[in-house]
Amino acid sequence: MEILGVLGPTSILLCFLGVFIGMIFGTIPGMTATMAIAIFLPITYSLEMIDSIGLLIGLYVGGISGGLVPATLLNIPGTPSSLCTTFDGYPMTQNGEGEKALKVGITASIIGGFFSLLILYFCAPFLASVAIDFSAVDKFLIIIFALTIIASISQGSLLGGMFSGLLGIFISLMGIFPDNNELRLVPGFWEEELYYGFTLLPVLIGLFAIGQMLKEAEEGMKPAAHQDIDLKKGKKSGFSFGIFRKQGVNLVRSSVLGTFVGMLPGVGGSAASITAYSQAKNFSKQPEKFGKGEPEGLISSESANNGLIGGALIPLLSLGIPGDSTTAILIGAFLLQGIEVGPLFITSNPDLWNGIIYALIVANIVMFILMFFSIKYFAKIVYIPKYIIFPIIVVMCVVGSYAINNGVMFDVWTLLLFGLAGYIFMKIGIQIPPFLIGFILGAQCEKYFIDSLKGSNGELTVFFTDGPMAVFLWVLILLALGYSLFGNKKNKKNINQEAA
Amino acid sequence: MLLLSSALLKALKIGEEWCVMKKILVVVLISILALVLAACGSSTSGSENSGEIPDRVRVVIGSTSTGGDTFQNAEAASRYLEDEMSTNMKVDAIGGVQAFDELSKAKDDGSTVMFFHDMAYLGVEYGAFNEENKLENWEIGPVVSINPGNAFLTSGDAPYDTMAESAEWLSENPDETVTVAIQAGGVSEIIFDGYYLWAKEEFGTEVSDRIKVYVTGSQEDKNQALWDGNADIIHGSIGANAEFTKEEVEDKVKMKFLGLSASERVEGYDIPTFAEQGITVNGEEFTFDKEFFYLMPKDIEDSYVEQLDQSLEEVVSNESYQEDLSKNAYITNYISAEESTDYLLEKREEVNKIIEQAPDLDDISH
Amino acid sequence: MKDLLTLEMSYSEYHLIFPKIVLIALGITILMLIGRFVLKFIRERKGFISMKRLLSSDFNRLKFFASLGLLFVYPLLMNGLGFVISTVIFMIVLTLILMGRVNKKALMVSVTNSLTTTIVVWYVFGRVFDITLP
Repeated sequence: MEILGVLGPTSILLCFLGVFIGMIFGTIPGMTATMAIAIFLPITYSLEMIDSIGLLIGLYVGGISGGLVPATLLNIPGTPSSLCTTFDGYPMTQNGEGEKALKVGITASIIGGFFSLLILYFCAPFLASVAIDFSAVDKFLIIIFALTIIASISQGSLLGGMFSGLLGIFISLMGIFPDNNELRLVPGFWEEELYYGFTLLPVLIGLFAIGQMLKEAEEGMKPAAHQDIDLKKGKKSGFSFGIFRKQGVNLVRSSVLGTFVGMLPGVGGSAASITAYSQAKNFSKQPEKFGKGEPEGLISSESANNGLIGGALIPLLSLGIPGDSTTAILIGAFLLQGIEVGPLFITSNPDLWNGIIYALIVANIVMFILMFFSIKYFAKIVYIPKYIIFPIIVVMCVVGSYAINNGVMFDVWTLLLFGLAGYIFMKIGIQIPPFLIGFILGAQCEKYFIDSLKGSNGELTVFFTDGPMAVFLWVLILLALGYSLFGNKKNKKNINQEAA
Repeated sequence: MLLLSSALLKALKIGEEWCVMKKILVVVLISILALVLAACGSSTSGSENSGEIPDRVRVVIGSTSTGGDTFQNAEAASRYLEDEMSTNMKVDAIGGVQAFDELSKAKDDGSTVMFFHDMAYLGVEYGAFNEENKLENWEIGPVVSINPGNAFLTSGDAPYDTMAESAEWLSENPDETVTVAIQAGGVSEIIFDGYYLWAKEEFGTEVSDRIKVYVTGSQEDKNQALWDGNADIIHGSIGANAEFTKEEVEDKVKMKFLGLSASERVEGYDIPTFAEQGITVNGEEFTFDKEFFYLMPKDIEDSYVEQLDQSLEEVVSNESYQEDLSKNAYITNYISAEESTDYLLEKREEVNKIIEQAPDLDDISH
Repeated sequence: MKDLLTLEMSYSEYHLIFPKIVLIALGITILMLIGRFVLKFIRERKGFISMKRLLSSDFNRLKFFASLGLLFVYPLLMNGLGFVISTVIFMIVLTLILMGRVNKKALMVSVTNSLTTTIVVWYVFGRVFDITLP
């Protein structure tokens, strides 16, 4: 047992504990994997390096995977990267397939996790050196590529979806531009509070959780139809691994996309599952079923967001550059122990490197076992009366929002404000998913747009002349746009014919 | 911890267990009673003699990163201080503007203090922070430590090995330019200004006009700018960049140090300081030590400051604290609260002389 | 042509370039949306926002406005009373509002729910995990 030799029982135990606590953080709306790691960071100081790696990797894997639960059961993304999981997970719950959805999601998660682990183990140094070859222009185009999902998920009206997405981008730009510390788009009375703009997490859970509560309150908090479906009497959970038989391509594509997007420094993890979901839909034989409870969509989102874990670790471990906000905190853990993470990390710390790989293996397996067998209980959350669960959710969201930036009251106001906004959006037909995608990707889109122009002295042609990668990305963007527009039309035709 | 977590899970599942509701209520009521009693017990002991240190001290820092030097220095100091002051300290990375905001709203009992470095006043001078956050409006606490590793780097194959040589190289090659990646409003800008002014003094505008800046944010962005070819020289530090300067590193990402801004060399590294290279501003050697210090609400009780000061003096002389700092190449630099005010105001005075002559970033950026 | 494809880049204006582009795009979409509604209105004589769509058929004023109001009172309460007390009060009242009735059973449910959650959150997150609570 080489694993035992490197990790040792303490690290495995801590890894187990990490996954467990991470799962709790991921499961609770408002708490995220990043937060869990940040909280445990000071504690790792008193641990051996290898033990703290076990703990932190466990938290990371558990936290990202736990996000699946509230996304599927309550339509609240527990972490930003599980946004796309709500698109198909929640409709499955509404059809009384909550337990099945969770099992599909977890299986997809572990496959995505292992896939990215393989990529990490065998190709890390090579890929890291590829990753830094991506120029600002390439990154800008990748963000645009991710934004094309708006075209394919707009319900009913493409124009409405575009408007929602642009509004999201617009709001994400509020606050300072980090390069020159200049404020823009901020009303005078909020200058201090909005200095860093609205924080993503409160916006996300405000729109989903609080908005939904207000809508339910308006409707009188009646039990939803799916709360009456009795699991025990009706059909069984309906889950079998057979669901995955035809999903091989989807799994591989989504895991690779997740790993790949996660690997690019500065392009956030949320972009990973967004890209994977939209590509799964574009390539699917039945795109019209997406968004209505199609396991295919769920699989793509979940395998991609676990894939991004391995991806984000690639530049971290082979260059010392964090791929996302969570790995940025992981660097802190290494530094606390006085271990420099840089281009020589893997060669000069072979034991740690193996330890990380083994911790990932253990964490993924533990996550799968823990989740798979506790799902029965999790799934019952759905049956808790709404008047009990909503107050709990609200308090958790408030605590989480307050804690996300380590104690800023304005983040709580953000949560409530966007809760109200979410309610109003639902009423006047602004679509929340495109809005959020715009909001999540907006600031990055701007950063790489400006970075590209800084390099080219303002010449816009740089977006086409930057190199073969840029051309390739343009082709991808046009294909994705064309496909989703054409696909949309075809769907509408089909529906119309059926109606007639 | 496991037990607690499972209690939480149970709480989530409460809805399905209607019949045990009453039982839970009783248990909860009893535990609440116990907790209230316990809380009263501890709080009365704290409030009886005023001037005591609060049970929990929140240390807000001017950076949002938990991997940067501000967090590391704050965390190390707090870890030792909380034992010395018998309290709990929690470092919260909330960022400059938010930290000032929290500090302005904080109570005067020392339950919230701020830990930051020279950017606290540089930011005000450069306009990144509001005027009302200037040093005069806070109680300046003791100075704690230095990050002596503030440096400039270039790619491994660059035709110059020090900052001074880069300017000489510019004067020998009149068609070339040098672009320096810095972050606006902070320590990297003041050091760049020093270099720029020296180059102008020494070689005239025909060299300094060919020094450009690439303004960007984090260390990762600066590294990437170097690799992309958008910058020739970047600001960095020993802690963050030393790994890239080692021999075995691939040429593509390899870097080399061009000089340290600190007044003294860092042990174990062969990097000349700016002063050694002969870089001067207004006829004086140009050095800049990045120092970390505490800021507190203006009306904080004197006894608190005194206690923090004394405790910190103890901590700084603690060898295991010094060792912790040296892991990341930081060094202790204790200046008592009494002297620190004059010290920092004077430092700001010096810095202002440079800022007055400094170039406008608008003119030298792309 | 070259001028058209070149943006003026000046350091102190970096922050305005992208917002301008987004604002223009937003403006165009809004105009197109308005155009579409006008067309639709002319063709079908139907308004864009019908009151029916705005409010669901059984709009529950009490629950909606009471819970909305309570949500915004909660942070204010926390500023004054601290996290534990205000959360207990907030959760009892919110549960009661959402249940829509006040009797012995409802009271018991809400009190239990509120106390358990508050204690668990305060203890687990505030003490064990050392998260800064409001």
